[in-house]
Amino acid sequence: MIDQFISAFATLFVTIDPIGNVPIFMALIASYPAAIQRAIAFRAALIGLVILLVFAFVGNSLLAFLGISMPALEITGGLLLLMVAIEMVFERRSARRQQRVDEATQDQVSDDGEWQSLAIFPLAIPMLAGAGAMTSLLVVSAGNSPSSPSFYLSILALLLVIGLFAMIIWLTITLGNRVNKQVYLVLTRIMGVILAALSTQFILSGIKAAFNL
Amino acid sequence: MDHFINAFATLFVTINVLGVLPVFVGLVQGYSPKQQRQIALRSNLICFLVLLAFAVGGEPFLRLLGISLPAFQIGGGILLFFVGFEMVFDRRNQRREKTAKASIENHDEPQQDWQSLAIFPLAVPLLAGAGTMTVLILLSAGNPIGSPNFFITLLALAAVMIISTGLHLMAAINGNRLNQQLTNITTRLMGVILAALSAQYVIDGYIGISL
Repeated sequence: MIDQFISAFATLFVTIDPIGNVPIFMALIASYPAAIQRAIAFRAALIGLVILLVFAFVGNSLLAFLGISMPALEITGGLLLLMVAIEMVFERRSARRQQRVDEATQDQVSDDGEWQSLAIFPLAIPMLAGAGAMTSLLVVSAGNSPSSPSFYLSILALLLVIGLFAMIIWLTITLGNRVNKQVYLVLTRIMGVILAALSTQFILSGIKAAFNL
Repeated sequence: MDHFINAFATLFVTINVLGVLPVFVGLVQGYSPKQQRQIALRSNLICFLVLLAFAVGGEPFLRLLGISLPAFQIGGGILLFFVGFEMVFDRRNQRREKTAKASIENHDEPQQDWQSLAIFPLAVPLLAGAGTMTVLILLSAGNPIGSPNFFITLLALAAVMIISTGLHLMAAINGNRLNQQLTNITTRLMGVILAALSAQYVIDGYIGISL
């Protein structure tokens, strides 16, 4: 039970990446006063959480309905997450995200309601609730019907990760964003390596189960 | 019923109507609403016919080449996995937009050829692309023409095409209100589902060999 929780927490932590997301968040909201910065950050965290929760409930039922077996999902999720991990280690993910953020800020016309839409896109989606987070949520909650205890363990892990993110961003805003950007870059790479190992484990156990090895 | 759900889901995610819609809207800009509706109807009809040909011809074709069902399940599954992969990482729509743009540039007088626009690039390859054709061969393989599953496949194809036509007509009427973010999210979601479905095909193929 506790093993499952740790595995779920680790996978969600490295894909949602509450540390690596901070500098990108801060770059986007730097021009607002601290009070609005906090409002944006919390709104984004909340929206991201709701989306991921919906995904956890609907996604599993949908996959079961489509007749996709647990090993198939493990192999798929593992491969997709491995791809995300490679991007993290080689810094392509941050570049891709940065690019999307640039596009998003260019598209936006400056008005009073701007910061509210900013919280939804690109902050909540796809930075917090991106493809990697959605995939890992499916994999860690796979095979557990939405009423079983292990399903709630993965939901608990999700709540914890989003809560951590809210805390880190709150601290960063309060401390005036003084952390060196290099620190985040290094941390993202380390987490990429961890994610690569975790996803390989998913692929291996999926293959083992699917092909009766 | 299982076969219907499987066929419908696989076709729905590979045709990815919701992902094609923004490209469609971009392509038909500048035409009258009536022409837009005609383009929508025509491209969906052509797509249906092309895919129908694959559904009917797929089984005999594989047999002619001596390709067994497990072999095609594994090969097709791997191919579809890459399509799912591209969808998740947002590369497929970029590629599609490029195809659409390239085809617009090749047209000299856009007002003249809305009819050819419906064939290329809308019907082929945007709606009936390599992924969708693979799916139809996969679905029809092992189910010879006339078997119940064959008709179920056709039914699923017809259902997906009807939904697609409806969505295209709606987009033709109020295209500019289409939410880019929403299509981005649904494409990613469908990519994950497609990747999982294709892994299932590969596993089924492997089990088919080892039996």
